[in-house]
Amino acid sequence: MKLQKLTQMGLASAVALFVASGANAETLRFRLGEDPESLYNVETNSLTANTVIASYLLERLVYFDKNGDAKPWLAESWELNEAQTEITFKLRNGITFHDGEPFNADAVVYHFNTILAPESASPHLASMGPLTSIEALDDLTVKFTFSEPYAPFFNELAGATGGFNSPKAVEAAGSGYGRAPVGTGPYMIDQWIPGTEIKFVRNDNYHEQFRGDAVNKGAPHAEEILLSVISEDGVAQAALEAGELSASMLLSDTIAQFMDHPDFNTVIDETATNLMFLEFNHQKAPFDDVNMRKAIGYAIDRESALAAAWDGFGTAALGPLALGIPGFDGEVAAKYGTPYDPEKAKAILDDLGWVDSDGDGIRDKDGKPAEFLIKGYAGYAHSSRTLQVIQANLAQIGINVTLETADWGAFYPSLLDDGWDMDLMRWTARDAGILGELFRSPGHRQKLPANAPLDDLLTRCNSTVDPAARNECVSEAQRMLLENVTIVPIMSNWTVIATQGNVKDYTIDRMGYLIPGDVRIED
Amino acid sequence: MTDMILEEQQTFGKPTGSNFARAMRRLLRHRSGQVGGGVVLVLVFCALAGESILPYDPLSIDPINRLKPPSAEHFFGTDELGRDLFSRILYGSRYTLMIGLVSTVIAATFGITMGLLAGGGGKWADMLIMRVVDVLLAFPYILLLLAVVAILGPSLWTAMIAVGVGGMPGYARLIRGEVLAQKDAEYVEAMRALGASHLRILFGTILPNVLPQMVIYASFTIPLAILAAAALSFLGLGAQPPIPEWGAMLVDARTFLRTAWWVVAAPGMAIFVSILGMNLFGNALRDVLDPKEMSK
Repeated sequence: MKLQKLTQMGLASAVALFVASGANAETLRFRLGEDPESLYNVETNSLTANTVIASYLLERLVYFDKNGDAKPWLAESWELNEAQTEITFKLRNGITFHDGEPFNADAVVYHFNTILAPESASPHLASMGPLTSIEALDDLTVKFTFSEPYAPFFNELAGATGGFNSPKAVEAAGSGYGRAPVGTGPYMIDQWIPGTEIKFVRNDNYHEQFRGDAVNKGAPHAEEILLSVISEDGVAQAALEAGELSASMLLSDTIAQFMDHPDFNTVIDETATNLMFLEFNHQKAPFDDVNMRKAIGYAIDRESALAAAWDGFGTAALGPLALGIPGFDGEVAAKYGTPYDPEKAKAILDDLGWVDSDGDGIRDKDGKPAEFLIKGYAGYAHSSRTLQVIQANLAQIGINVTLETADWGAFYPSLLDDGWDMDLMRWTARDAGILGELFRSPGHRQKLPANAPLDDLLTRCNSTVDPAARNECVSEAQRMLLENVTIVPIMSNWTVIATQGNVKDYTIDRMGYLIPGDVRIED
Repeated sequence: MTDMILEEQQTFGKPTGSNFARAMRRLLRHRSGQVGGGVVLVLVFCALAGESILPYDPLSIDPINRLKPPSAEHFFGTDELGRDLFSRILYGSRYTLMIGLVSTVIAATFGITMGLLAGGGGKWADMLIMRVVDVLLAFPYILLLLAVVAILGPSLWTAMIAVGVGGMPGYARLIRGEVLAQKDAEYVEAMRALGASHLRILFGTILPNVLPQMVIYASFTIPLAILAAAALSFLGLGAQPPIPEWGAMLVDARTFLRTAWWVVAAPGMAIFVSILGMNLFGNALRDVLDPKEMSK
C-alpha cells in the first residue's frame, strides 16, 4: 500500500514536471563537429552521421547496457539455434514510424536486405559478415541466418547500422532520403540547413521508451533539438560560455575550465572504446625481432604522454584492446604488458647488441646507428603531441627517431609501402572483432607475418557467440598479442562533454550515443 | 635643413662613393628602413647565434611544467609539452629565415632565367615560356603548393620547394617586362655593336641592370614565402614535429586560444613582427633604390 502511494506520488511529480517543461517550449542546442553528408544509415558510415542517426532518429532491436550486455529494445526477446547460426527476434507490437507506418518484421527485412543488396554499395556490407538471409516468419517475428556463427553481429544491431527506417519513406524519397530520414525515434527531422544546422522536433506520438537504461519512459522532455555545425573547438567553447549551446563535446584541452565552473556541468565518460598504439613494420629489421619491439614498449612513458597529449583525460593502456570494449582483460594487460621501465629497455637493447660504441649518445649495431622513422597522422594535435613524447622517451634509451606526419589520405596508404619503421595509430571500435580486423595476418597494413595460432584464435573469437566463451577467447588473444608485442598500446582517451548547469540527465550510453529523451532543462 | 640640401647638391656635383654606399647611407636615414632593418638584424642574429643564446633546450619536453604563463623564468611561458616558448621562438627564427631565403632563391633563380629567356629569346621561346607561366598563375596559389607537396611528400624542404615553385611565375613576368623595356636601350645597343653574344647580353648586360628591381621584389616575396610556408605547416604539410617552425607552433597551439593565450600569442606575434619588419625594410629598399632617388 505504502509502495503504491509512493509510486503514485512519483507519477504525479513526473507529470507535473512534464507539463512544466512542455509549457516553456524548451529547445536543446547541441554541437555537431561537421555537417553529415547523409542521414541514411545504409549509405553512410561517418562517425557524425552515426551519432545523429542513432541518438535521435532511429531505434534498434537491442541496446547495450552499462555492463556491455545486449538488452531488448524494439525486440521483445530473441533466441539462438543450437548451431548458433540463426537468431530469431520477436518484435514489440504497436510501434509506428514518424510517418505513421507500422514497424514490423517487413521493415526489419527491408532494412537488412537493402544493406546486403550489391546495388546499394553500402559501407556496412562488410560488417554483416556471414549473414546470408533475413526472413519475416510472421508480422512480428524475424529470422537472421548466417553461414557460420558471427559474434560481432549484436554490435551491428545495437549501433547506428541497425536503426530502422520506414520502408515506405525510403521508397518514396529515393536518393533524397538521406536528407529526410523517417524512423521510430523520440525526435523527427524538421529542417536541415546544409552546413549550418539540423532541427529536430519532438515525436509527440512516441511509444513507450523500452530501454532499461533510460530514465524517462515517455515522450522526450525538450520540444526541439537544434544541432549547430561548429567545427572549431574554440568556437564551441565560446558558444557554451555565451549560453548558445546547451552542451558540447570538447577536446580535453578545453574541458578543465568548465570543471570547477558553477554555471556548467561536465560529463566525463571513461569507458573509452578507442586505443592509441605504436605499430611496427614487422617486415623490416630490427623490428622483426620481438625483443626489439619489447624494448620500445618498456621505453614509453604513458603517464607523461597522457598528461601532455590529453591533459590527463584518459587511461594509460598496457593491453591491445580498449578498456571499454567487452572482453577487455585488465589482468592480462597487467601481467603481459610492457609498463614504463627505461632500465629494462636499455638492458634488452644491450643484450641485442645495440650499444653506443662511438659515444654520440645514439646506440648502434654493426656500424648502423639506431635511427628510425615513425609516421603519424597530422590532423590531430593529440597524436602529434604523443609522437613528440615518444620521441623524447626513445632518445632517453639511445634511439633517435624522426617523425613524419601527414593527413590521413597520405599517411594511411603510405603504410602499405616499406619506407617506415613504426607508426602511431588510433582506432575506435565497439567490439573485440577489431583485433581480428587489425592484427590477423597480414594485418590491416599487410606487414604482419603469418602466425597460425594467433590467426586461428582471432577467427575463433569472431565465431564464438556465447558471451562468456567469447570473452575467454578474446582474453587469450590479448595475451598472445602482448607476448608477440604485435603493437605497443599507449592510451585510451575519455569522452569529455560540458553542459550548462541547468541541463540535467545528459547521459551517454555504452555505444557512445546520447539518450535524448532523458535530457531536460531545470528551471 | 638648408645644410642638408647643400650637402646633397655637393654629392651630386662630385660623387664620393659607389652606388651601394650611397644607397646604404640613404637606407640608414630612412625611418621604415631603420625599424625594418632593426627587426631583420635581430632575426638574422637569432638565426646565426645558435643554441648558445637559448635559455632552455627548445626541444626537451617537460609535461609537469606544461602551459605555464609568462614569467621571469619563462619569458614567453611554456607550451603544451612544457617547452620554453622563448627558446622555441628564438630557435624557430632560423627556420623562418631559411624558408624565406631558400624558397626565394629557388623562385628567383628559375623565375629570372625564364624571364630573361622569354624576353630575349625570340618569339617562340617567349610564347612557350609565358604559357607555362600562365598555367602556373592559373592555379590558385595554395592549391599549387598543395599539389607540389602532394607529389614530393610533406617535409620542411618540400615546403620550401613548393613555395619556390609558387613564386617563379611572378619573377618570370617581372623580368620579361624589364628585358623587353631594356632590349633596345643604348647601352644594350653598344654591347651588341661590340659583338657580344646574345646570352652574354642577356645575362651579362641586361641582368645586372634589372637587379635592383629584383631585390625590391624579393624583399616583398620573402615575407610572403614565410607566410605561405607557415600556412603549409599549419596544414601539417610543412615542418615536422618537433621542429619549432612558427606556423607549425601556431597550429598546435590553436586549441589553447582561450585557456593559455601565450602559446598562441608567441608564434603569432613572432610571425607578425618579422613580416612587418621585412615589409618595412622592403619599402625602404624600394625608396632608396629608386633610380630617381639614386641620381640625386
